[in-house]
Formats: sequence, C-alpha cells, structure tokens
Amino acid sequence: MLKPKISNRLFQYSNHVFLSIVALLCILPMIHVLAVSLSSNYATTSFLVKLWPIGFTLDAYEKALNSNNFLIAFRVSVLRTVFGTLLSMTLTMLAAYSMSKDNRYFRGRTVYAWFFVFTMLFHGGLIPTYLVVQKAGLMNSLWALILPVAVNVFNVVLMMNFFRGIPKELEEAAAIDGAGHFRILFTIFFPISLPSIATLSLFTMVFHWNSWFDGMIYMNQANQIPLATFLQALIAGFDYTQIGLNPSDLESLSERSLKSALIFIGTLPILLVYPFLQKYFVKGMTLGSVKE
Amino acid sequence: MKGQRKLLAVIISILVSMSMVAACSNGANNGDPAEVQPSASASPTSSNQEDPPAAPQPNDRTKFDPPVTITAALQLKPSDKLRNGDTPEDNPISRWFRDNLGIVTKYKWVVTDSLETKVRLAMTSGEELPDVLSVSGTLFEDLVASGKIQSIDEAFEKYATERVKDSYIKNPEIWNSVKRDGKVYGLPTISNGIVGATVMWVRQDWLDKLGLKAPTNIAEFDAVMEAFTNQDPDGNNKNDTYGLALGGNTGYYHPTSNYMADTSFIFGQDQPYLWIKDASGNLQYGSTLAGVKDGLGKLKDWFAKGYLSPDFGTQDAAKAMADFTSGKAGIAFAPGWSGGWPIGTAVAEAEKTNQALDIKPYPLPAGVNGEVGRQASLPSYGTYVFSKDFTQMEAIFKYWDTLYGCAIEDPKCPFDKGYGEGYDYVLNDGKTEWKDVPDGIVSLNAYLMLSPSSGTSPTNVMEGPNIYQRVASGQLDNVFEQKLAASNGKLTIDGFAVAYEQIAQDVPSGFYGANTATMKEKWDQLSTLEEQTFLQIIYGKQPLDYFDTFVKQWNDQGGKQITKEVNEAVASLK
Amino acid sequence: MISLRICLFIIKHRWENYGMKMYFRKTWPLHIFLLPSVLLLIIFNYIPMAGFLIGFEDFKPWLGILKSPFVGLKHFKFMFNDPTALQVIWNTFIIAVFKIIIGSIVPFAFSLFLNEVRVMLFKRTIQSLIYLPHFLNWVILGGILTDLLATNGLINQLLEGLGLNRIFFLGSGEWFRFTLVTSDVWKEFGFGTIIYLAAMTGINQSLYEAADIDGANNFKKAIHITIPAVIPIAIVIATLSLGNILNAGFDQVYNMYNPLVYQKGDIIDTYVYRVGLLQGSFSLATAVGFFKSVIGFILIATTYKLASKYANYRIF
Repeated sequence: MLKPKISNRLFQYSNHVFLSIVALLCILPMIHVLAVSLSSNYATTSFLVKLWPIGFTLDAYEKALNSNNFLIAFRVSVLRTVFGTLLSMTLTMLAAYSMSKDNRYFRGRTVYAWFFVFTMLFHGGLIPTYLVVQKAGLMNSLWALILPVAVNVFNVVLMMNFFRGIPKELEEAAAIDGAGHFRILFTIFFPISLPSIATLSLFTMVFHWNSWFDGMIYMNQANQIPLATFLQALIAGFDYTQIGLNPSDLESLSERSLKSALIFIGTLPILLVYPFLQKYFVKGMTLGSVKE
Repeated sequence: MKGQRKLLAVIISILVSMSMVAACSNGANNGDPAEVQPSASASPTSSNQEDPPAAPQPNDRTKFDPPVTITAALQLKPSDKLRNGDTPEDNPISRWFRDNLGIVTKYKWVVTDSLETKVRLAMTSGEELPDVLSVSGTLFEDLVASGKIQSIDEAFEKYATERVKDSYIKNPEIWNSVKRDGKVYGLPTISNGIVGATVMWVRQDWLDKLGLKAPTNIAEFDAVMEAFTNQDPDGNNKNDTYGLALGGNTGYYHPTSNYMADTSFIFGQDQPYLWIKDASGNLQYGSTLAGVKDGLGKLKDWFAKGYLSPDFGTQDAAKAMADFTSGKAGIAFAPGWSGGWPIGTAVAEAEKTNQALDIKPYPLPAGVNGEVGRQASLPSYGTYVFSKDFTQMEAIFKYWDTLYGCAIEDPKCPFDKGYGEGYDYVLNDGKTEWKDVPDGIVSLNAYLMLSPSSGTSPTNVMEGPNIYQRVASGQLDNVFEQKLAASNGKLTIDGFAVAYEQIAQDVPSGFYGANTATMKEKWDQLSTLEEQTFLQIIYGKQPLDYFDTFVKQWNDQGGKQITKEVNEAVASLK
Repeated sequence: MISLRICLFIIKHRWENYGMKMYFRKTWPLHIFLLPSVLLLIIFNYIPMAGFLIGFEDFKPWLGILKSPFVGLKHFKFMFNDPTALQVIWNTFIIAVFKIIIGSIVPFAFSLFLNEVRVMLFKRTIQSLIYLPHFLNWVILGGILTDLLATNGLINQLLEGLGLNRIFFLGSGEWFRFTLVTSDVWKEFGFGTIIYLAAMTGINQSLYEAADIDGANNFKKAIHITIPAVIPIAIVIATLSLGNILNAGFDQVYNMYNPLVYQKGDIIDTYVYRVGLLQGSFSLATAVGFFKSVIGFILIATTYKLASKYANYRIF
C-alpha cells in the first residue's frame, strides 16, 4: 500500500511543477505588455523592454485614463457585455433545454438542430447583414451589437450536451409534482448546470468584450463605440493616425507604451471575471447529492 | 481591418507632415528671407475686402450669413484630450471658422479604422455620405463610379483663389490622379515633395571611432559596412553589430523600400516599384530594369557578408529602426521626420543617461551604378471628395484658401502661432511660447476639416531655400520659422534640410493614374512574385540570374499588357 | 379509514399519471422556448444569406446586391485555375488540420492534469493564468513572437545553448507552419480547458468514492471515470471545429508571415485578402467563403451521421 502512495505523491509534485511551468509560459506575454506600458518611450521604441520596465514611468496610464474616448468606450463595452450576455444566455438556456429532449419525445428537434447548426457555417457576409441591421433601424444603437449575435449556436450545442447529462429521474420526479417545462428548466436544470452556465456566460462575455468589427461598422458616433473597436483601431497598425501629433513631440508617433497601457487596462476587467466565476465551478459538485 | 498597412507609409507621411502645417514654410520670398511678402507667388494682390468680389480674393473674411454647415468624418483618437471643455465640434479651430467665416463643421461619422468599409457599406445601403471625405486609391475609384461625388471643375474655376489655382498650375501632374473622363472629381492635397524622401542616418560615433568618413559612393559604403560589421564599432568585444538596418517586411510588397529603414538609394535612378521613363520616352516598370538587378546583386553580397540582419525579411520598419537606435546597426535610411521619432527619441534618451549615441543625417551616397537617386515623395497624399448633393463649395474654397495661406507663410494666416492657445502655444506677456505649454503640447490637426498642403509649402510653389534649410542655417525671422525651430528637434530640421539638398535627383513615378484593367486583375499577384523574387535573391535562395526569369515571368503573366495600358493611359491624359 | 386511504392513493396515483401525461403531451412550450432564437436567426442569419449572390456577381457597392452584374462561377474558377491558389488551399488545409487535432487534444489533456490538483488555490491560479494568452491580439503576439523567434532571439539562444542549430522559425516554410500551429495551440488551449473543467465538475463524486474503496489509483480513475464522462463534450467540440477545416487563422498568419514563407505559409484568407485588394474583394471573398462553408458543412454532417450511426450519439 505504500508504493502507490509514493508514486502518487511523486505524480502530484511533478504535476504541480509541470503546470507551473506552463502557466508561466502563458503569463509572460502579459507581463511583457505590462512592462512595456510602464517603460519610457525610448526603451519601447528600441524594443529593449523584455519583462521588466526600463525607465519606469506611469505617463502612459495617465494619458490613457485622461482620454475621454477611452472612458466612454469602456462604458459602452460594459453595457453591451452585460446586456448581451443576459440575453444570449437566456436564449441559450431556453433553446438548449428544448433541444436536449429526446427525438421521440420532441418531434422536430432534429429539424431545429440543423436549422441552428447551418448558421454556424453559412454566413451571408458583411454586406447583407449590414443591410438588415440598417433596415431594422438599429444603426447607432446598442442593439446592433447585441441582437445579431444573440443566438450563439456553439453555446446552444454545448449547453444542450450538458443538459443531456442531467439524470432523467430528476425531471420526471418534478413532472410528477406537476411542474411544467418552464419550472423544470429553472428549478432543476438551472441550479444543477451552474458550472456550465458560468462557463458559457464567460465565453459570451469574452466574446462581447472582444468584438470590435460590429462596433466599427454600426456605430457612427464617438460615444457609442465600444472599447474593443477603439483598441483594435489602435493596435492594428493604424496607430499613427490615432495620436495627437505635435510638432514638438514627433516621438509620440511610437506610443508603444500608451498602446500597451490601453491594452492592459482594456483587458483587465474581463480577465477578472473568470476568477470570480470560478466559485460556481465547485458548486456543481453537489450534483450527485441533489435529490435521489 | 489591416488593409491599411499597405498605406502606412503614406499615412505616416501625411500625418507627420500635417503636424507641421502649423510650422509652415515661406511661400514666395524669392530667397530673401528678410522680406516676408504678404502672399504667395501668383496672387496679384493681398486681400482687400472692399474690392468688388469679381474674383475670389485670398484671405477674404466675408462671413456666410446664415452660417454654412458642412458634415465630415472624424478619426477617433485614443489620446484625445481637448482642453477647457472643448469638443470636436467646438474648439479653437472650429470657433475661428464659425466666427470669422460662418463655416460650421459637424461630424456625421466617427471613424475608428479605415473609411473604406464604412463608405462602401453606405454606398450599398444608399445612406447619405458626409459632405466632405478624404479618400485615396480604389475607394476614390468606386466613389467616382458610383456617381455619389461631384466633379469640381466649375466650383474650382469659380471659387478657388488665384494663389490656390497657381499651386495646381505649378504641379500639373497632380490632377491626373483625380481626373476621370476629362472631369476632376476631387481636390488633391499637394505634398511638400520631401516628407517621404530618405536621408542616410549614420552612427557618427562609430565612424569617428573607426576613423572613417560618411560614405558618398558604393565603394566607400562597402568599406563602412565592413567596418561596422566586423571591427566592433561599439567596442564591447563582441561580434554583435551589423551595417545597414533594413525593414524588409513592409506589408505592401516593396521589401527594399519601406517607409523607414529602406535602401532605395542603392538603385540610383533605376528605382524599382515605380514607372520609369526610358530613353524613348516610354514608361517601363522599374523593377524590371537592369539597374535593379545590379542593386539586388549588391544586397545579396551584403547579406552573405553579414552586413544585413539575417532577420531583415521578417522585420518591419519599426523593428529594423530599433536595431539602429539600440546600437545593433550603424546605418539606416529614413526620412527627415525620423530625426524626431525614432532617432531623436533615442538620442535624447542617450544624452540623459550618458550613453554614446551620436547620429547624423547625411546626403545619400551614389547607388550601385554611380548615380544618386531615391524614390520621390508622392505628389499628393490624399484627395478630398464632395458629396453630389453638397452645394456649399464656396465655403470649401474659403476654408481651403485660409489654410493654404498658412502653408505658404502668409502673415494673415490666423493660425500663424498655432491652432489654439493652451494647446500648441501659450502667450506669456504677449510673447508667444511654443516650448512650455502647461500639461504638454496638444495638436489640433485632427480637427481641421480640410488640410490643403500635406506638409510645409507645396512643391514648386516657393523659390529659394526651403524653410527647413533656412531654419537649419539659423534664420528665425518670421513667426513660422520661429515656431518650426521651437517645436522641432535639431535632427528633424537637419534631416529635412539634408533631404532637400538632393531633391533634384528624386525619381518620381511616371504614372499616378487609376489602376488599369489588367492591373486590377493581376497586379497583386505580380507584386507577390516580385516581392518573393527580390527577397529570395537577397537571401541567397535564388541566384542573381533568377532576376531574368522573374522579368520574363512578370511580363508573361500580365506585366507586358499592364505596361502597354499604362503608357496608353498616360498618353490619353496629355 | 382504509377506504379513505385507498381513495386518496388512487386519486394521487391518477393525479401523478395525469401530470406525467400532461407533461409528456405538452411539447408546445418547447417550441415557444425556441421561437425567439429562431426568429433572430431568420432575421440576422437566414435573410442575409441572400448575400451568397455576391459570390456569383461582380459586386459593385453602388449597384447593390440585386443590380450588380452576374458572372456565374467566375470567382470560383479564379480560385481553382490559379496554380498558386491550389498550393494555398493545400497550405490552409495542412495548417488547419494540425491546429484542429492538436488544438483539441491539448486542452483536453491539460484539463486532466489540472483535475488531479487537490490544492484548490493552486488549481484556480493556474486556471486563471493559462487563459491569459487568449486575450492578446495577434498583432501584439506577432510582434512578441517575431522578437522571440528571431535568429538571435531568445529561443535560438536557448537552442544554441543546448548545442543545437539555430532555426529561422519565421523564414523557412516548414518551421513557419510549425510555429503557426504551436503558437496557436499555446494561445488557445487555456481557454479551451475551461469547458472541460466545467464538465468535470459535473461528474458524480460518488463514482470516485466508490473507486477509492476499490483501491483504484488516480490514473485508473482518470481512465475509467473522468475521461468517459468528458469525452462526449470533447467530441462535440472537435466535430464543430471541423467547420474550420479551411480556416487557418487570418489574423495570426497575416501578422506573422512574410514573403520568405509565402510558399508554405500563405493561406486562403491571406491570399484572398492580397489578391482582392485592387479588385474590391467582396465578390471573391464571398465566393471563397461559400466554398469553405460547404466543405466545413459536409465534414460536420458526415461526422454527425457517423456518430449517430455507429455510436448512437447525436452530437447536436
């Protein structure tokens, strides 16, 4: 009995080491971005900064936080992420619930499934989608960023597979108590599936937070442009037009520090969502003990 | 999304030069800087509001009543920080035009990336365009074809002031880029002809240490490269330096001709990527000329000897320049403005920390065939187009004339000191200061609805030394010179001044017209072929004679037809 | 009393039966649940599919979809007649296949390792760190990687230190593909593990307890409990990713490639982007997109059929 314990411990140790190394590899680029954002213009222009700031300065953060556009864009992003995720997750749960039913029980399920999956692959493309959004009168409205992407078929399919893992007995017991579909979904499926819901919510939030193209084409006013659009314009090589060029400080042409600072503050909020959601990952473990 | 990378060089040039509009150059002072004349060359009189307005007068300050409102598109900026509660539609510039000319700018669109997608979508959906847009390239073609923009021939004739007309008369080739079926569909900006022209930036401390002189021809250049690569110029006893910083990854097919860290000098008068006149007056595509083969042979030789970075094909301009400013490479070719960033930034920092970094701009050495030459700056870096339903062209030309005056150093320029007090200058006891603006200098260029000259005074308009040359020689007579001197680093001023010395040898392209039919179909493939060939030859993956195979392929795959079409197009414009 | 009890029992029984029956008969709420999604899909996905027309015409923005000249299969032919285009399709396929295979296995495997960690704080920290690269734009990562992978960059210094030859990762075709796949997997695997970790929390703990009593070690528990429980989700994800068989990642390639590696590294999207610059790329891009969708759809449909036929599992 001793041997397996030792090998087990050995495994635990090496596993920890392995995971730590991989995690380190993953965090290095972020640290690099952070270091650049805290470095002097010369150091960043000459690509000298690796993982530690050179010529430490908070200038970039001061500039970033002083920029009106940045704060307004931040607000738009929060709004679209919150409302977009709420709507999208509601639709996802409703659709996934229906589609998790057996074919023999819910006739037409397969038709729905193909109807959904087909849209994952075939997109009309930029122009016709734009025309629909425009004709629907959604231009310059937050809805243009929410409605066209509200149904996320990938999430629906995953959710449906999670729902299928829920023991049939729970559902039947509730049905015997007279619960309808709506009640079953929200009193049984919902609490049991919190880990998956948290996961898919995270996916949706990340998606909304990072989407930039729709913000670019549907929004015409400065106070409606989401942060991702704002950052994309900044990062994607168009930076040179973005900077208030002063005759005296052409060096601001580079602004790699400012870019990095904006990227960092722009990414931080969404990075913090995950650690927060992690508590829902444990609750799901009570699944086995819900009711027998 | 990143389609704009192709235009990066252009964009940078525009911006850099726009930033200097405020520090404009003198127009027609005939080489005698002491006598600043009131207006530009061709303008017969300075403004006189009492004159009957038979012809539009320069600096005409008659106000539109009621005010004219013009819609435009605004580029959103991350570091946008207007002061004192100003907004994009209410700031020192917009207030001046509103209060003095009765012209109001409203922003219909805020643009975060390129205009291109937005305009194309608006065309498809039938949305109205803003009254004024600044466009270039295929977007201009599409707008002309769509009939959504107006031809401006009549308006130009009727409303443009003499001095503005004169600027185009002196740069006649500019119209070619906007003329379609005999009509002019946009108002092109006129470049100062120097903004993209490269000079040779050399590590002076390395030269001095090794007892060398700045090279003036290829043989000398070879020697300096050898020394910079093998003789440990930084004295750290490591073989970690190389000769020439070269950004071969341009994103627009021109590996030897990036917006910084280029090597166009090596080709002398046989510049690749341009349409070059041959002995019989026909245009030939530069990349197929024998001189280009010689240049590539030289580069191949340098690469093999380690004078270039083994990574240059993967490095973009900024990365390659970083090799130069961080002391890995000893020479870089870049335009005058790089004396501000990135070179100026690096030098200033080095001074602060007492490191050795002494960089000087020099004229280009002669190329591989003994001639001096480089790619000329574009004649124009963008065109303003006007919506077909827009009727206030008179206001446009008044706005234009005002800023054109600033470009040619008209003392009546309302923005002679800068665009806004507290932004790019301050007044201390009536004295103008450009250096110590509280909270730093902020440029208002982005809020100009129109910016006629993308740089200092347009090409060919001025006579005598250029403002950079004047300031470089220590002349600070008028407010424009003072501002230029105060708001630019010495290296920038020197860099541009040096660039002007060789402007006569610049190689322009013989063709700036619309893409021809075969170009539209084949150009990108041909360019890919060209780019691959050049890099493979330099990297030694192909022998130099592969160049001949390339020329044949290029011609066979559509190049011949394109050359024919280009020559026809040019003939038809005459 | 007894009769009353019997009576109550019968009523209750009937009631239960009635409830059950009603429940099973009532499928209309399921349709109602799907209705909003269906409507949104019709409006924002199906109606715009009329835009496929653009792929069959020379689309001019100012003429619109209906009035642009119809050119039939011109853009499709362009793609298949050009010999470089065939090479490009092959590049795309190879790069995408490796990305799909390795990109499916790594997150799955990694989540198994992570699942073995008993120290919750450590586990959570690792989880939160490995998904960081997902949030960095390829423009940024491309810049960082160009530095790291340069011939005198950090990686090559390491290789040299180990007595190996330097590698021109970004300048030689085969290594470039390798770099693309590796960096993409590295960027996305952490994000991918999240879903598996979520699935693992759903495993009934009593199964592990029973296995403990039987004296099973961690390895056996992973093989017999964890993997079987998570594999359906893995299959679903892998199947859906088949739709990307001709998407090799525009942003990544565009930000990392250079003319030296066009031969092996140019993919459909970058090719179309370059070739289309001067011709207004809408039509060609639509045609190519349509082609990619058809291939992806065929693959997904085939997998779906195979799974339902041989494993009796409906992926969706």
